Amino acid sequence: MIIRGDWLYPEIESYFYAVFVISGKCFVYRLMRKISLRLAIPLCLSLAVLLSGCESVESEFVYSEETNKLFPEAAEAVKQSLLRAFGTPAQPRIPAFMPVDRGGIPGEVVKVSDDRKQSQLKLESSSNGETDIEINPGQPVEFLFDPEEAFDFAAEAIEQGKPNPFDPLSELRVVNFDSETGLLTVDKKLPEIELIDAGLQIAINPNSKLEQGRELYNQHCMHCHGVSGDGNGPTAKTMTPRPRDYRKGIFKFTSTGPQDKVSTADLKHIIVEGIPGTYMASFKMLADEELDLIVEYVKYLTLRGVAEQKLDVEVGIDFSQSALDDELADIKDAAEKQKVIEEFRADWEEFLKGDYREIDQFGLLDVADEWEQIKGEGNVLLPSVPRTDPQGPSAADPSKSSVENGRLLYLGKTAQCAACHGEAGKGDGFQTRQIQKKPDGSEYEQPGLYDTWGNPTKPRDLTQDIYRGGRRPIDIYRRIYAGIKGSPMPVFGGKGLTDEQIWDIVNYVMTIPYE
Amino acid sequence: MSTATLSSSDDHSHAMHVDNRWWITKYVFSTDHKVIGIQFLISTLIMMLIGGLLALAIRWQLAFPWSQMPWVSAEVFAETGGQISPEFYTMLFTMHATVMIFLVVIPILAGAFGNFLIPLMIGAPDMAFPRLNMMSYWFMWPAAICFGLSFFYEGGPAAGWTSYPVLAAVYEAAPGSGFAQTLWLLGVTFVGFSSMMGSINYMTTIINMRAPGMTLFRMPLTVWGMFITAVLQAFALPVLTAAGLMLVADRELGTCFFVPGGLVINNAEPTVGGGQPLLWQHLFWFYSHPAVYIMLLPAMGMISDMLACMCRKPVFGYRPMIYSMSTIAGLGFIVWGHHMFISGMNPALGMTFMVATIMIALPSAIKVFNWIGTIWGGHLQFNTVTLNSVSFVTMFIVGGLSGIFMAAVPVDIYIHDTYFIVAHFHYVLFGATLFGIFAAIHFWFPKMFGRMMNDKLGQIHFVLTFIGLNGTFFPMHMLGIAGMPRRYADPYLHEYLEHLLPLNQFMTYSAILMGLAQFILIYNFFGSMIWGKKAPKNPWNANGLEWEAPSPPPHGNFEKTPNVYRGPYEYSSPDRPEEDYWPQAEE
Amino acid sequence: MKRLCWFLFFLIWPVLALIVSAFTPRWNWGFPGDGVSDSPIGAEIDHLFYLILIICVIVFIGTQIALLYAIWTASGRPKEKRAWHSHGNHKLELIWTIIPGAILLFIAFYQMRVWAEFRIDSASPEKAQTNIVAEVSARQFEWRIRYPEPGKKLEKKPQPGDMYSVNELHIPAGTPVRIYLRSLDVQHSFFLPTLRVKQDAVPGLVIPVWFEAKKPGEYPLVCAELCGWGHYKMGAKLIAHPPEEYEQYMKKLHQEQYDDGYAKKK
Repeated sequence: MIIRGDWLYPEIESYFYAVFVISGKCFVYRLMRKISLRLAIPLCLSLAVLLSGCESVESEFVYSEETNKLFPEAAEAVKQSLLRAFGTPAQPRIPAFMPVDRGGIPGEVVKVSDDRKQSQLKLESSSNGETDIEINPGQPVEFLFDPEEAFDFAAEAIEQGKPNPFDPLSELRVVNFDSETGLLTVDKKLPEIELIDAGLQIAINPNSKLEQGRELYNQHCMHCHGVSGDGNGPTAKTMTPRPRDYRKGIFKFTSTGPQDKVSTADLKHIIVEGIPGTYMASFKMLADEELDLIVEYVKYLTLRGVAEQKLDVEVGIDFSQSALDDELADIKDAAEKQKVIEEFRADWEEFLKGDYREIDQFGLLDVADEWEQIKGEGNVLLPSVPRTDPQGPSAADPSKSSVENGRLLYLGKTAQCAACHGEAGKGDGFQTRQIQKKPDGSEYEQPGLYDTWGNPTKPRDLTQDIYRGGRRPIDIYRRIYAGIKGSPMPVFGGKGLTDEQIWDIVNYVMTIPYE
Repeated sequence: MSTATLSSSDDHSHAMHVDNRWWITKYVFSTDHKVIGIQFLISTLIMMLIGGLLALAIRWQLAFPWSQMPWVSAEVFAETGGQISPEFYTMLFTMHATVMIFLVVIPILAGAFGNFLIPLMIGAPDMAFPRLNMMSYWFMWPAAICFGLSFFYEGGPAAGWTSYPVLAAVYEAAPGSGFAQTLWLLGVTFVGFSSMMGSINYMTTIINMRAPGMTLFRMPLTVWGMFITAVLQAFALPVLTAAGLMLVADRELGTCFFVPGGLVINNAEPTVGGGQPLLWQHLFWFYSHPAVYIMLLPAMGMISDMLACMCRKPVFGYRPMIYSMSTIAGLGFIVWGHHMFISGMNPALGMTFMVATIMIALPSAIKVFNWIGTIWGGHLQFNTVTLNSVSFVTMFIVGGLSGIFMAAVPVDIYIHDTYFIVAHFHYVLFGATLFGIFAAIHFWFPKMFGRMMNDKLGQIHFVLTFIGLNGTFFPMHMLGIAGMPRRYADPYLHEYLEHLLPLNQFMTYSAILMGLAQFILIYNFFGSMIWGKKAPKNPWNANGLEWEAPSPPPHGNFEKTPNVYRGPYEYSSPDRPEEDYWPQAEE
Repeated sequence: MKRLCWFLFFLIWPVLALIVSAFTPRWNWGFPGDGVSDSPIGAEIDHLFYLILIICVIVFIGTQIALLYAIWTASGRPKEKRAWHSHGNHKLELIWTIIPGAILLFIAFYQMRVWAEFRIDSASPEKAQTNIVAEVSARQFEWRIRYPEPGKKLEKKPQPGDMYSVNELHIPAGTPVRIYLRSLDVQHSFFLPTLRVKQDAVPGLVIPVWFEAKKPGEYPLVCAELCGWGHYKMGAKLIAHPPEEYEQYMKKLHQEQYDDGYAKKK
């Protein structure tokens, strides 16, 4: 039987019919005749069901709680800023001044020439002798303007009521690159910006390493640490401790000083060695380059989170939802309420046009400055004196052996280690049974210690022989000297304890498992 | 009790034509063995679709690791951009195995065909305990509900179908090892109850309710297969049920049968301990190895019957067939240790278990030779039943031979828990048993529904399944030899396995082909119920007693209790020149 | 025609299976690496594998030929000629019981020596019992390894001088070594694919395992027993050093483990 029913549009029917008749002798037609309707219906149904599964979804960054607490329009502006600076998981990007190795092929403009639709840039990069660089059509091109000059230029244009002159540059792509001549053709005519001139640095495919890093991160890390690096992936739900939330920029086990940021080397160290006693496993099976890419992506997620925090703080002073609610609290009249809201909105509009643009731009520059030390080894913390021999006399109090003195310090009033870690080192000091205070001054409901993220945490059981931050003497020294960032473990170095005393405690702590 | 039930089923046979039961007792809570058998059949076919989809999901992940998984991605993993999580993969293969073993293969063989065929083949009006029989079916549903619910708790059960402790015993051990694992264990227990009721029923029915003249050695091999299976189940199942309840107790009541002390998992308090994880393995495999034969022996019996009929020839070596089935069953109880060669049990045991295991290949070999002997010199007709039966034999040869590799302990050191074992049991369970089931569906469908299945569609289904099956499972041998361990969500993380990706993709394409082919079976099965050609009483000119009853047989089966005069395989007998078959009930 | 088609259908697949199997080593789908085991016991396991393979291939070809022949003749049997009415043949049954039985028994007993060598102390090399290099503790989802201080013996309990590494097991090459295998949480399995060595790590048990890397180099170490969601992530390396380098490496490791960071300051 041929499929011929009551078609809605007779012309379509006749069109189909004509095709059928024309192909009358072909196989399909014969098959159609053979296949009975009662077979065709389930066939079509199952095909439809099959196809219905091919819907595709894309992941998105989630925004922090603080962002969502902002006045909705302010929150929207923050989200737009983040989107402009950091892109989406599918297209990650980060400003060039951020301390992240984001990849890309560098170049320098020598000459700009235009035709009607496209612009051509003569580049220097090809003469650098790097023959294996590949510039392919379709890759994005980014101009590395000096951020402050660019800001001024844009501000001037906007004050004159023109659109942002840099907007057309955001989607610029390579059409062709001739490596012989160094001529780069881009897909759009460049706008009239005097900053685009000889000597300007550009980057082609600027975020290539982030994209590679994202692939690896998604494969190995994302199911625990989450798409946004918020430590909230699908696997993380039942884990103790929770996977690290990078967005606060706080990392527990670092080799840097008490006030310093984490270093790239620290991040890589954790990925290579894992964190004993947690679900953070060692990833030694990955190649070195892969590890580097993952680290850069983690840094990217961290800086994105930090930048979000920064914006939230700057905007949140005046434009949080709670600020509006406070204003509205005493007003009963609905019309008056509406008026207050309107005023609030007008204030915001003004702020958005004026100060916000600066916060948006210079906030990011501030973040980049603050995080400069994340590069490489960072600000490594090293002891001023060598480790004392555990059984020999203590350098701090030569009348006792180092371990003995360490024990006294451990139990004593200055260090108060036992308050949390317990007298026997079992991690059961009295503080673990006290009600603790939250950062905002209120009290936690359950007794015990909490970390900065508000998750319950336990002081290390030192008898277990498991040291999350590493088991070398220097690792334990650093934990005592610089504390554990984000946890209740305080900083002892520089104020409370001398290096000699810290070594005594290290020596004592290292004997606890063998007592 | 048995006498009471027996007499009540006698009443049924008298009241055969006055069948005015309420439709609920007739079709839903029916005590009629045929209705229960068909209920089992349709339920298990639906379960087979679910299990198959789970398998395709597994294959998708192995071929396109971490890419968007159709259907699943948009709903369950929207926030991660459609990328599944590793514990979801763990749940997928756990549930695939669970559904296929506990809700498809075991119930379809014993539940569906055992129920439908045993009374018909031995000339009984119904099972010995019809109400127990009904319970047996309805106990499968709590199991299915438990398994189904376990999907929704903390990522589903994630300890594999073997659910080895400590992973399965401690709540903190895995994200999916939470309440879902307890539900899963309860599900297994319910399946156990269901099978137990069935097996008691089958044994009693076969021993007590045979028609006059139906001596033990005149029973068709199908009935023998079912009988031996029932015995196996009756003796092995209590061990699993007890072990399962012990594990539930470990999880929920804090007993420590299987958990040693001092383990810190997910930073919870250290386990209290005193138990031994190996104990679970011994108990589990004490059931689950015989379970392998529970999943095979009935199919072996049915294949013997169908081959004999399709070749118009007596089964070659009827008694050796029975003896070899019994030997398989007997040896099946003393080979469980071969699942544990590298588990750290006493290495001397490895030797004894190896000898026993290797020797279990012998009765299987005898059966293969006898099937070939059965075809030899027959009148083979190529229809869906024959094709599926013949491919049962060839696939079983592969599955049987690959078993020897694993039985040999030193070789097993290497291939244990690699894809080689996955290839092996899929060749036995899918290649052999499922082809046996496909053949049996086509063969007994006319008796069940009074209509014939479409043979052409059956053949297309067979060809596609056969190609898909070999394309999917044969390369698994290679994966195993290449050292790819089972249950890896992303094997390509390891450098020495990276080059296996194209092979895995080929396997996935084959699996998709195989999956699509099953729609033909579904269509053919349900379509033939409505549109199929009306079937006569004995469409295959077969000898068995079931073909004496009308198609479909009424409540009570036979008009009058048949008398049995000869064995079931008197095809082409020279003593009966007029027909090439000689029904058992004909004088 | 139909008969030929089905005959070819059942013929093609075993032929294809044999061809694909024959080409497996060449296409690199067979044993990992270059197909040659990196340990002496692995070579013996490979030998046993190939022995069984050869027997199985012969049986496979034999049974498939018999089956195909049976199909071919049975499907072509003329209509008027009745099927061969036979209930079996006692002699044949005896033959095909005894011969495979003998082959199977041979296979079984032929395997025992290698198994004993791998698992039973009295049959394994002497060095495999004395040369204890490390304690390997599997946990979700990594391998934590403990070595004794250079010059000392590995004790059952951790000692103050012990050294630790994660996901890297260092051993001397060319000599049998023994490790103690433990699990800190659930069941794992210590699997060295290129060395053909596998042993489950069972919680609560300490299981000695011995193996030998013939040549210095890096070998994969993975987990082969389902241990949770991260089962596939337990990839590690076995690193075999030449014996003298091994001593040096151990000393270097000791130095690193007890580093107080002061040297870098200077």
